Amino acid sequence: MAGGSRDIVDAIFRSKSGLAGVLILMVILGLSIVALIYVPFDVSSKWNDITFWQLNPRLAPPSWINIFLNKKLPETVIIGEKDFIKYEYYVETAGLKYVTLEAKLDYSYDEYPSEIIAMLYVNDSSGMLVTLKWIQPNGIEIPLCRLIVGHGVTPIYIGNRKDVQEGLMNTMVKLGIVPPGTIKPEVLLFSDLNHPNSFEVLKGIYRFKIDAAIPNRNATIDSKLIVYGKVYGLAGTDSKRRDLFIGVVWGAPVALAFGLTTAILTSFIQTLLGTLSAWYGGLVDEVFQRITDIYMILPFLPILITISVIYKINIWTLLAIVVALSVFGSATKTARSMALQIMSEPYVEAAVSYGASRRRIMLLYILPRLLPYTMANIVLSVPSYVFLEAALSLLGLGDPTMPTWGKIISDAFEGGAVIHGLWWWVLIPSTLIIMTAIAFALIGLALDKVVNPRLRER
Amino acid sequence: MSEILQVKDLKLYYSTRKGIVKAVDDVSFVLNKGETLAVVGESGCGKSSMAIAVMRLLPRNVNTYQGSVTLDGEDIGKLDDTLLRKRVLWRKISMVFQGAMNSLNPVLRIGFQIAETLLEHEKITRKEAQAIAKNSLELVRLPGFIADRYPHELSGGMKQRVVIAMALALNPKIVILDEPTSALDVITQANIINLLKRLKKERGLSYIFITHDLAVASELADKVAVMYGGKIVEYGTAEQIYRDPQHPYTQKLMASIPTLRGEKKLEFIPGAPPDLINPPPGCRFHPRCPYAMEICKVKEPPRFEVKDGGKAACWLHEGNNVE
Amino acid sequence: MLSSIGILQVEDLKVWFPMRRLFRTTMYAKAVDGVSFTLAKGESLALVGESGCGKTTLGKTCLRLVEPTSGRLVYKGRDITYASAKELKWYRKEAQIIYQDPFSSLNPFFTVYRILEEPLLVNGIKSKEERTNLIHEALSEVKLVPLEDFINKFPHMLSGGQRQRLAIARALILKPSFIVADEPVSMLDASVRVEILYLLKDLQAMHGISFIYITHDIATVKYFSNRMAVMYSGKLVEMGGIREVVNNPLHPYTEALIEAIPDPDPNNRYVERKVVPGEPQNPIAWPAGCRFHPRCPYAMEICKVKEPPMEEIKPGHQAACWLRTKR
Repeated sequence: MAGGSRDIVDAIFRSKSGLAGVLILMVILGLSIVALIYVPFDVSSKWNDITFWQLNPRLAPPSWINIFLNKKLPETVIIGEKDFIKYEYYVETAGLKYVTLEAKLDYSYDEYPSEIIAMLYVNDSSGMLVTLKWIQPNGIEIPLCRLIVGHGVTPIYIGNRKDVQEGLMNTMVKLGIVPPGTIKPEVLLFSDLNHPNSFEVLKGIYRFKIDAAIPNRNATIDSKLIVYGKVYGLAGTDSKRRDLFIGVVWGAPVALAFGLTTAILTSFIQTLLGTLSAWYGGLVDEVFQRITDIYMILPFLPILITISVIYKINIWTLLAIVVALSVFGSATKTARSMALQIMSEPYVEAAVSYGASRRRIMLLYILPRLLPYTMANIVLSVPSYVFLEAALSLLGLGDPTMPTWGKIISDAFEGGAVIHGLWWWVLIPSTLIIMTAIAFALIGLALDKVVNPRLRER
Repeated sequence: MSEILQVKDLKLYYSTRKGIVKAVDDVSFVLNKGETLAVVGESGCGKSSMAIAVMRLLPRNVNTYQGSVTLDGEDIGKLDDTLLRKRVLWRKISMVFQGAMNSLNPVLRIGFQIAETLLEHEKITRKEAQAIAKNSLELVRLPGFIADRYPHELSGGMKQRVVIAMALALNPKIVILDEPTSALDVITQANIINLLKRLKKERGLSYIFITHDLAVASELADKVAVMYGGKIVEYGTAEQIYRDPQHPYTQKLMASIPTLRGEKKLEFIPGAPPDLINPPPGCRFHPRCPYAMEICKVKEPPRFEVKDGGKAACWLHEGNNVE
Repeated sequence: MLSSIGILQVEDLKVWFPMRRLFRTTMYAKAVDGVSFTLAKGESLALVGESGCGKTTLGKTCLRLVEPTSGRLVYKGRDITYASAKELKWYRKEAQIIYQDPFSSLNPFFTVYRILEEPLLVNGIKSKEERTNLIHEALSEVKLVPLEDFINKFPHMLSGGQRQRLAIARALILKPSFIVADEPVSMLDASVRVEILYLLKDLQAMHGISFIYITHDIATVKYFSNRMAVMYSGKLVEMGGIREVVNNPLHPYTEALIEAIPDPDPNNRYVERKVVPGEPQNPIAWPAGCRFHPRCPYAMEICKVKEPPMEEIKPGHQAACWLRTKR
């Protein structure tokens, strides 16, 4: 039986569970690759930058749920500056420039938007008077608000403004319609005002008009209208409007890297220490075994919690600490007993008889025999480290800036996802963690034959 | 001398990953009452498989099992497994397995283990079984207090005696012994062989004694069957086999055994025993036989009668009657 | 054939293994308890005894694979009893071992080529060409030919006899002067044993290597050795030329041993063999006085009290027995 690594590859690809595991792993790896290509910017800094995610709806479920719904939820519609039709004219006598911006919005969704925000971009040293109007496909014109706008970017939260609500109410009264008790602009602006209680979206072409009276001839005004949808993207958004798909995709390589790196480091170090313990024997062996015992008793999580409460740690420091707390472990003991078995075989003694040095015997004779076991050990311990990272993030102890899967779940809990039924926020990252764990467990199952010598046939 | 065991055309093939192992391939012999038949051969010749084939203790991966085994006039092939276990195994014929002394349960006392054998087969109380167990220890010349000891407290020779006691627990008439002394030192081996000789005389037992050691076999053998490649290649009385072997393999085997007394130039047989999955065509010994003829490479020789009632499966004796 | 100065001198060698005890007194397993002999240059000495008598431990201690507890080992005039590993580097080229189990004594991960290359690499044979030549030479000597058939095989692909040849080739490749062969043929088939014994004999004659041939099978010793030493309970009880010892054993244990061994003779079944009872004691508590006395049919009072010294009873034939001693 030669080439232990060949054994491993064989075992994995020959069994059904191994293949299934590898398949799932490919998917997750694929996500990681997507992460590196599709999301080229530095996610961890942008993740906490609120302005970056402005154009996404808040707490929106993923857009594919529309497949299962009769009444399709709307996606966000953004009418940019270039899509506004601009009329400008100057009245000498009044000394005013009149600018009208008009946007057409073809709304055909079954459901109402979640928010409506108009952005006004004003380049003016003094102020200007701006009037916003809303014209429904049925021709009803609703005055939204009138205000003085200064230089810079002014967001107008059409859904929240009292003057918008008054404007709606007055319009209805003028039409002789009884207004409903609560006036929600997002709903009423998009319902046939003749039938305000119908709760049916009026589909058609809407017009949004901005009239500005500008004293300063050189001033300009532009606008962007954002009609926020109720669904977004592949994984929805969270309370800070962040695209969860990006967060989740970015979490993939982090989870894998953390899990694999920790698993590889701890496995190798433990095996090496176990072998050294066996080879030197005597006092060294005793000391190593006692240290291992102590390490195995130490409560892992409480120590980590203590450390991360005192010091704010980032993810790589966390990795270092985890490895440091795991250099001696169960693999040390197993590796030691396996090494002892190998050492008792005559061919090892024969090597001494022709003068092989200790180091040579350990590296060439003993460690290669232990390699299949180490590999299997790595695979089997990856899930625990992935879970560990997620658990720490969940407890709020992980890296606060990196969007790892655990962090996303942690944010979800803090954001009341469970209470408000925001299932996508919790389930999508959790499923990915579980799938990763299952993938490695399946591969580990296939490797069981390699690890357990009794199952092997000579 | 009446025939107590007749084995005819016994076949036992195993399925393995590498193919079908033809471990026992058309083996026939006869055992008379009070006689010892030694089955000798090198490792991998199928002698141990033959023992379990006779007792029908078949493993899971058995592929073919054919042939007739007639014990005390009864064709035991016709009995189902339960009847076989109840009426035949251990009562009429029992076995001392290879390495059995190392398979004693280390956490149970000796007396308990012997008693277990009895309780499996007889409806007696535990107290009765323990008493019989103590007696059987006397049979193998072990002091009674051994019953209270654990296997690790016993020496190799003592453990082997215990195993023999277990095999004799129900007074069978035939005992199959598979390499009962290979793991023992020379002096202990001599002691055990003496014990076996005595028991045979006192109780009129018949033995099938399986070993690779021709010298030890001569200590007990009345008749010898030489196995090679799953077949019996020569069969005859001990005098014939040891003094005037007729099959080239037996001849070469005899010539390759070092003897303590006397000066003998040793010969060795070049090559290695055959692969039982793909045995050579024709006579299985032909690749190593110094007298191999053309026919040997093609056709398997039947067993020809040779002098004094012996049989040899070799084309050199083609002129004689076929068995 | 005996040269006056042996290649190896063993003086009162003791190898005691401490057994763990809870109390302050440590018990020792006295595997080798005062053994002295001289191995002549080019000689093959058979070391005979039953299991547990200490012969394997003695053989390995002569190679310094086991640490001696007391006594002296002198090889080619140099005292190697307590030499450190570094000081022993030269000894590792001089003295080799052949094991009993031809499978576990070969690294299952290495090919035949690699197994033979290891000793060369370890001992600084730098040129690949030189190594290959030496390897081919070694394989030819043990008749593992044609070379291409074997060079790239792994041990599990070879038969038992072939593996043992490989083990012998490995022992020879450094051109040693001294080899300990520990039961080299007991795990081989009967028809193969002779082949290997004769091979060892030829190689010994050709290269003048001194051998210690450890075995429990006395019947084989005359085919490969000329002198034999009988070991019992950690001590040598008899030593002399093989034919002399076999035909005229002086020590009761040797006598018992020889009596117990059957030759293939169909008349054996008619008689009960004369045997001594009992089995060897365990190495922690050898009996007082002569260690064989509990089983000895000739035991006298002195035997229970005082250990007999090893004396030359006849020229070239020594024994340790109160029955035979001249005093």
